[in-house]
Amino acid sequence: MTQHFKPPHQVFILPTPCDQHNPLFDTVQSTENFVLQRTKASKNQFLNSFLGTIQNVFDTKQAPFRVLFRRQVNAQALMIAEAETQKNIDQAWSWVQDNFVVGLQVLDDAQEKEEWVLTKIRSIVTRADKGTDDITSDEKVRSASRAFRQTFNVLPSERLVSYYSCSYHSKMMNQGWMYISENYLCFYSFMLGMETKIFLELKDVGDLQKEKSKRGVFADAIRVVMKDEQEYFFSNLFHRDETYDMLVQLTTLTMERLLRNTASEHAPGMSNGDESETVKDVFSVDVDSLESGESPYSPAPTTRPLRLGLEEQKRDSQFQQRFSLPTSEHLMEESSATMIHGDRTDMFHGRLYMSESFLCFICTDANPCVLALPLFTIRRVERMNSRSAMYALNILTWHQMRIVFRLNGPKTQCEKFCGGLKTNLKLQVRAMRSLKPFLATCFSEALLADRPDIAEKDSGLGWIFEFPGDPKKLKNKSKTKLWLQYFKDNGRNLTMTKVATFPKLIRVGLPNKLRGEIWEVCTGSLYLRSMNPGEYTRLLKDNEGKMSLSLEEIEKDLNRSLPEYQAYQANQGINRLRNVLSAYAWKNPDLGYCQAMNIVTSAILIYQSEEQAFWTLNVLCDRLVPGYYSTSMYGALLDQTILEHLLEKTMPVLSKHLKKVDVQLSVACLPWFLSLFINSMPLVYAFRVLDCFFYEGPKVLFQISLAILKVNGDELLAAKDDGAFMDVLKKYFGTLDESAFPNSSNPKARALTKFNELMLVAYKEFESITPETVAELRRNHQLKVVHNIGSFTKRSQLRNINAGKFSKDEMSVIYDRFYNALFYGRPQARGSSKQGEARALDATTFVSFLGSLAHWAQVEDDQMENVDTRPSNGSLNHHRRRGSTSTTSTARERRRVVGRHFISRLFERFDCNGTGLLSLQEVTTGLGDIIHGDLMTRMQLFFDMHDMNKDGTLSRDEILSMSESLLFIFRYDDGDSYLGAISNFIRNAFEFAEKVDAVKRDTLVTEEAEATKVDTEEKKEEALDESEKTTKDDKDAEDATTAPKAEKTGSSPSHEEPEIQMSLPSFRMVVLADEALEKFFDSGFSNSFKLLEPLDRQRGLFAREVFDSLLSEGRKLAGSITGGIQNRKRPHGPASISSSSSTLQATPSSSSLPLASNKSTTSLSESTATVDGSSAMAGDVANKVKADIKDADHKVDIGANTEDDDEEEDEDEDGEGDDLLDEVEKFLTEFDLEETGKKDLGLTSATDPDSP
Amino acid sequence: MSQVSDAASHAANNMKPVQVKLVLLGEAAVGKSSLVLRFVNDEFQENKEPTIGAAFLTQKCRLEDKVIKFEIWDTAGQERFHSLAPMYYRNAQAAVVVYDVTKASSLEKAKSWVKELQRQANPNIVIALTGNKVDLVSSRRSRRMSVDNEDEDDDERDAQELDEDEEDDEDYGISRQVPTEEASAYAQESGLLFFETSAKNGQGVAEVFTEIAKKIPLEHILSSTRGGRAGGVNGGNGRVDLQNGANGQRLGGQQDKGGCAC
Repeated sequence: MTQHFKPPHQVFILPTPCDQHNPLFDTVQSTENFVLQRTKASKNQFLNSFLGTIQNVFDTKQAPFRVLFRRQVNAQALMIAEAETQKNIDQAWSWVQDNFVVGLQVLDDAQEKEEWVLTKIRSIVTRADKGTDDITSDEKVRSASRAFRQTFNVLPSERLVSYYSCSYHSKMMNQGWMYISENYLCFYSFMLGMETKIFLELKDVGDLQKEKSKRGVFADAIRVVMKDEQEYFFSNLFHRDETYDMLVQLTTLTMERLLRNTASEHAPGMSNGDESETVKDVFSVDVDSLESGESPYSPAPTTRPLRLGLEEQKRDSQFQQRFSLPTSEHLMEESSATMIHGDRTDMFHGRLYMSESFLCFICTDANPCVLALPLFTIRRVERMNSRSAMYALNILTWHQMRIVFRLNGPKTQCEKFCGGLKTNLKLQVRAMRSLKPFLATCFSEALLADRPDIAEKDSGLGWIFEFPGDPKKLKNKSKTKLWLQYFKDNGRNLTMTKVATFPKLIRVGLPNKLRGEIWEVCTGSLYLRSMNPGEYTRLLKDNEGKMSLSLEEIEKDLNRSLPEYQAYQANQGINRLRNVLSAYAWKNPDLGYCQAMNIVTSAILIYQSEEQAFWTLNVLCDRLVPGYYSTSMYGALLDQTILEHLLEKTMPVLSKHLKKVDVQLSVACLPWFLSLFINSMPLVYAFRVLDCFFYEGPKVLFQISLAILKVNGDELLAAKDDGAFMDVLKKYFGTLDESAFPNSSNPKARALTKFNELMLVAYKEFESITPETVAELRRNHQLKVVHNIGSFTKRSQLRNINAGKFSKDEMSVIYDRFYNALFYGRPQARGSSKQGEARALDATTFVSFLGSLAHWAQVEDDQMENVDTRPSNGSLNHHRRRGSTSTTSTARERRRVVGRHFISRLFERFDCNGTGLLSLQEVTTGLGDIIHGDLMTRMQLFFDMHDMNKDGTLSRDEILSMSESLLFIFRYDDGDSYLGAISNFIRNAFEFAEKVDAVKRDTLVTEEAEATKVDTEEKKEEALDESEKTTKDDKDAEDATTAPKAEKTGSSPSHEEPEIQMSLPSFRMVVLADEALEKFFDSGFSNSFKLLEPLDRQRGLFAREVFDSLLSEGRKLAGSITGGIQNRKRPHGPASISSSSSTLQATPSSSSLPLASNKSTTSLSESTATVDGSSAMAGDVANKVKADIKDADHKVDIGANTEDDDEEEDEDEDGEGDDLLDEVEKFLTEFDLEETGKKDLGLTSATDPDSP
Repeated sequence: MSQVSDAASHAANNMKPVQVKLVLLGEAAVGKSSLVLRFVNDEFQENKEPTIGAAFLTQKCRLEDKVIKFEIWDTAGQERFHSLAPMYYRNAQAAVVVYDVTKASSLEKAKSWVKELQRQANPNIVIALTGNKVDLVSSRRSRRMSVDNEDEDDDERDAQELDEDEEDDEDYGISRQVPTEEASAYAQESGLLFFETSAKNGQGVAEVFTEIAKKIPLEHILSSTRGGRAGGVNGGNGRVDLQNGANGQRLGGQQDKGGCAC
């Protein structure tokens, strides 16, 4: 049972069901459970060419050797390995024999055997492919990606991130596959004839929980809770934690996009004047930045797997967080290392990391020591020849501090590290030049040089207006002395090592003049400032004189920020505050300005210069309290939720009490967090809290808040309402400087202030709250908070919409679809897009919006679906490349043009104010006019939309374009009646329209002979063709298409009568003359908008239906031809390349298919392609259709080029096309004769594919 | 009507005060905090720190034979704080929705607040619509004139005017953008109390609270100790409350008189 040797690489595949008795394969060896097969060396000429074509078209070569696993007696076999060479397959075979045979003998139950084998194989395969994307070299991954696209109707730009074998628990266990892509979480399983398909949008995920399955024995499950409380339970995940982390990461990214999408009308900090300018936020890291500007249709072959990108992003952000580095830093090398600092003897063991411009060390044993050394502060690096260690780097810093790192890794790794360091150091030479002027702004330098006056001109307001508090009482002098010593021992500013004394010195409170700089060191804003010299002044200069909403808001608050501090009663303070706040608003226009930032900034400015404060504000908003000040304030809300959660855990009694008396914690606590206690506590104490906060991060806010609640616990328990609750806290803050134990006999205890007590409680009793806990809690609660914000926004927006006759539920659907279109329509749109765009549809997103409401409007998707669901498209890449560069069939192109044209006219019609953007209100009104209008208004609408020149009449071209639009809308309708209706329409329209001057006729005829023939005629002709066909019998139909030219000459002249004009009344008359059209305008069109019924489903099924029906026809045909040859279902599996089409055929939906028109010429080549596919599946091709198949081969080649699966088929007018059509037609007719009813067909094929 | 008197003198009165939770809503810088400050401390500050989240103040006043203790939640006006508002207005028995008579857009914002309150808040909430800063327009412009030039002003001018609010702008002759008739008609139609006030000179401020006090069913509050617990049911997080939106119960029929105090 143990693995005797490593399984051969790249031979095993994800188990894929397949036919054991495939006529193309010969069995070489077989045991009870396994079969080894190789391809038949066929002499059959036809078969060879057939195979060649298949390989050509499918872009896959079937491997000549394969190993199958025999399941239960009558079930299909599973392919578990395939190989190109005998040697490889032999290896796999013997590995199978060695590893499975014994085990299988032990197991009795067939099911058990299967499970065991599958599990094992899957774990081998999944281990083999880390890194997945469609572009990977790995065939398995590619096919998984393909299977994903084919199974789930997603856009081609959607990229699969990873896939896992797992099972989904509904009433029963379904073993299958979980696919995780950028936007979706999907599951597919096909077991015992039952298909299970789950399609979840990541943006709707409300919660993710790790769980245990099988009565809590195995920690291998994840529960996914959607925002509508729907739950999904997945288990048997081999890489559960990895899956979970990935889902968390992806949902987080999705959330960020969601917030950007709905949060703000437009970026409040964006300049009012120009829209073109977008200030790029260097701090934002999101999924978009991973895919550097590639278009969705032509993925560069070198694209790195998305998953690797995500992993890297995660690693980098952890690295940046740990060392407070700018987000421009990426982890490049790391090694285990020992650090020896200066002349001291103590050693630190830990890890050494390197990024573009930093060398970072963190101690991993008990002795805390953290160093982030910018490379530009390194004067010299020497490699030491030391006996004890092979590699030792002796570093001399700018401050003449000597640091030695001994690298403990293997030699090659050390060499790589050193090499990287060398390269990076060279790149830093330029940065070194700005070091000296930079250090001149650091007070620590001045202090050490014993010239504390030199840094004064560019420092905090406190230098001029005095610092808050009594310096004597604060023991300012002795604290400064301690820091001086620390600088001497451990370096200063940029080169400082944070050792054990560092946090202690921070917690006792920072000395006034050093405070600003130490804050910078703690937050890492020092690095930002040193690495971006001049950016602050540039931001202000570049935006001088511009105005924005944020600037207005800032202006209102300037006089109201710490008004009690002297500096803010004078211009000097006000100006600095204005500069810093506006510079930040320019830098981050999405955030702009939020009240509370003025308070925090004005406090910081007492100790820091403008530029220092600016960068500190950056770190604050981006990393320390992300989302606090954003337009949705989701960060603040999130942390309030977390605080409540922590209160419940640490002080259940108080928590219960608050719930009982219905007091909401955040009414009191929210301002604490937003203004970082600055306007809650007396300033002196607020700064003490701030010291700790800047060093230790947001966890301090939680610790202090909880401590405040704890200390006041008794009083709070007595409070009966929020008024009393607030009073207790207000009073407490006012007495922070009083003795905590005034009655104690111990003078030391008496000297303890309430603030001291508070800090003690915070650090002692709430020690368990670490940055990690906070990070995890944020992760766990963020989805809910974001969804709450989402539904709040939705509610408040809907409240202000004039809904017309739409019900509340309908409005809710319109809102959701509207924002869905925005969300998926512009994935790469940065938040800082143009004004107004964030909340309005443009022409492109309108198409997808409409497509989500009405089936006929799914223009883009037709194409996508066809591309994706076709059986013959082989490698998706390959296919896409072809599709994008060259020949898309004219027919499809044409239909898309018509469709787009129609929709864009609708767009213009909706766009009342002509901005080129549709707001929710405009869309609602527009839809309301259609849906709640009546027969007359809808006819009017169509009339107006097609009356291009607005002359109140429809010309010939306009009538034709109307009919094209109608055809476009009707194209999915069942049956053929609409074709008749449209041809009637054209006929009647021409008949009843008012004729223009007959004199013009001659000239018109010649013109039109060209114009209409090329342009519009095809369409009407088609309509006529097809409508005629419906009235005639099959034989006639054949005639009709085999002689299209004759028809044309026969019918065209009748249209090329004089120029005509049709007025609205006659249009009405024409419409009302036809029952189908009347019905369409009366109810059909308005009913085509599905607001409350699920449309996605329908859409998903549609392609499936067409396909299934065609497939089943093809199969039936093949079946009838080949007779006894087994023709089985091929369930889905990521490795099923050639059988991808059969995945589809397995859908239960195939039983319910009403396919549009099996008699018309639509989808001809689809059926031919299908016939190929299915005959390939059947494994043989009968002699009877040999000739046809040859034709079909030929056609498939063309088909692959032109991607033609359209209804408007017969537009291909060149000779080849006609020939082809002839052939196809013949073929189809023949085939039609054999079949009687389509629906029966569908049923039979769906119910009996399992039988031999 | 002004039996409102200071709380201190009635502290001795052995009557248990009726607690009324009142929330102030409205666009940023329309003078919500100033209005409260005028009511509570009878003072006016030019530079008042912006409200973060919300400020909490209390004031007792006497109405006929009852003592009413107003618990006032003065909310932040900046748009992005909007999503926090439900936390403050839930369970509120009264709301003062403030707009700035010199800024037409502030009335629009006020209307949207009213709408939100009527749908999301306590169904029996008493809402007072209050146009503040009448001191800026009282002297020079007649109502008729202001009706004539109501909606042409562009944003620039708005901004300018805002900057000048704080100062003494009698001389600038800031035009009234919201005619009393318009706002009053709206208030009547929506069943709101309506006032025009000036926090700066105190005009009309006390009336707002007195009229609210009269309108509130005090007995009802007394008997039920504390008003309906609207948000408490759904699992703690009533802050951004999903389920609360279902019933758009309007104010009861007793509102039709809609007393305009002007």
